[in-house]
Amino acid sequence: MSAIVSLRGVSKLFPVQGSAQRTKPVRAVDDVTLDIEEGTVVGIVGYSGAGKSTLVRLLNGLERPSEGQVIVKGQDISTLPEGQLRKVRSGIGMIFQQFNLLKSRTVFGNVAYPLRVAGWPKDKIKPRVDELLEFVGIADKAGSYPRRLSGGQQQRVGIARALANAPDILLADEATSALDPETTRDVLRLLRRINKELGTTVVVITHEMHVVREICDTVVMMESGSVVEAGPTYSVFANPRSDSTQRFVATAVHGTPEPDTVARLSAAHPGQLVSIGISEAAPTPLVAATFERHGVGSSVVYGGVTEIQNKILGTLTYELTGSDAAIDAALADLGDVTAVERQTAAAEQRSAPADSAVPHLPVPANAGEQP
Amino acid sequence: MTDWTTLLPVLGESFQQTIYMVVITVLLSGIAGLALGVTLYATRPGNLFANKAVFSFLNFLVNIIRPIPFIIFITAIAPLTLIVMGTTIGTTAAILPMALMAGVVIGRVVEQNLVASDPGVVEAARAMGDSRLHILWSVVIPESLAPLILGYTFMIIAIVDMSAMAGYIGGGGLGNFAIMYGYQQFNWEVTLVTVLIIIVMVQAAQLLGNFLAQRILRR
Repeated sequence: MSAIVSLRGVSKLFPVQGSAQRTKPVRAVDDVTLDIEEGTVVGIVGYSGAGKSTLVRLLNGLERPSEGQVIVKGQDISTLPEGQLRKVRSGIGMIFQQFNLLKSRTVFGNVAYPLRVAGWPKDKIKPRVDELLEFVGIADKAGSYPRRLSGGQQQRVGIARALANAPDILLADEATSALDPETTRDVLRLLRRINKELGTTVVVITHEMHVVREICDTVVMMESGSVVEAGPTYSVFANPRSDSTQRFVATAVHGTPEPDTVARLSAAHPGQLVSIGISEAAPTPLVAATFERHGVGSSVVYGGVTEIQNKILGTLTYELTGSDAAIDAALADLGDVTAVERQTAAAEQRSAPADSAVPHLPVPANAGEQP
Repeated sequence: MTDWTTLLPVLGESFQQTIYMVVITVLLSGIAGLALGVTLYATRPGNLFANKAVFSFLNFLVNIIRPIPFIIFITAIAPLTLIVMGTTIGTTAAILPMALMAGVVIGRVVEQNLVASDPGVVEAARAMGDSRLHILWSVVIPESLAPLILGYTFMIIAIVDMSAMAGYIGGGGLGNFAIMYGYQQFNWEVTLVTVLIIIVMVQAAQLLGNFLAQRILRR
């Protein structure tokens, strides 16, 4: 595999608008070096203002870098004149959070637009548009105006339009952020299919980690304009290094319980509570077998596992019963292959109900927030 | 009693003069105003042809001309009218100040409607590799067509209003008719009839504009 897009020390500075004093310009993208491999689905993740939208606009020349080089299909586009840049752009599709369809044109007119721009002969446009609408599954909507369509249908039109000139690269700028969960899944599946069937490289900008979990091969974490972490999705999810990556991963993968949850759990479960990281290295059967071998009884009380790139990942919290020695031995074995964390309710939390006049009642594991 | 047998032909001629002034002015100022408005929009900082010098100059020009009361504007540009039209009196002479003032106002109306349009669509067209001029013509203007039609309707009515004032420089038309045969001869009936005719004209323009805009909005 080779890089279809390469960024070399790319920065983008924006002057601060409307400031009377000479303030330093904002570095929306700050010294980014990055390779996007051909035929992959890449997720660029970060909080709003992290610079990911600017970064994606550097890839098709909608923004020009202030420093560094943007190399697309072997061509440095950072200094290309507008006329030649237009040719590069027609080979890169782009879809948007708000779809950005032409409201004055029908679905057909929207999808035909980039073909007309690219100078397709009239008799070739119709079959191509029909084929594209068929591919995204809205062939029956050709004569409708965008206003009449649901969000999911509008995004399909956006995708058909972006694919019109058979681009090698598809940029998706928060393409599912305005959609409900079910429609999001449909659109993500469609993006996956585009990648698999057409071989299109897909760059997904998102702040939703579950989008990355569903479709991305690799993930790039951005913070304040810089790339803080990049790598194959599974390894970034399994071993997030930076703080913000950890916080993002926690939104899509089950982690260890919060202290108040531990307090509730330990009130309901008298046994020893232990959180075990579940991964390729330590799948659930291995964990279960280890407990059994040491004669430790175990039941899952909290957590979950999910699948990323067809590999299992998550954290399960077990209630363990058995002798302390047996539990220690089992956890020592597991500690060699995965993360093991004993959960004990903090002392003040456990003593709080005892101090109060309220009798200490067992609280179910799924009870609401404690006062 | 009003002598309508002698007045009616004069009224008919005045009506024709008004129509003539309004139609020519709408055509001239409509095209010039569209060009001005699109240029203002396009050269605005951050837009397709961002150019601070051009934008500031045009913006300044519009801001200077627009607040001048039309009746004063007509006399103020009389030397220019003389050079361009060869005369400062009559219906044709009235067209220049009308077209200039209306063009400036239409420019602002067009600009405001375009500025309110969705910049995302422009970005999408740019991402497709479309040229900036083509985007202005086939994305920006069509996307704002409904509010533009309403803006133009508003302006046609304002131009009818202007044409009444053009009577001051011998421009003729219904305004002149109402003043000469109505106001100055204390004939309220003539004034009323003229007002009714103008109301019907304005209503017809407004209904047509609303109808066209609705058709586009209903898409």
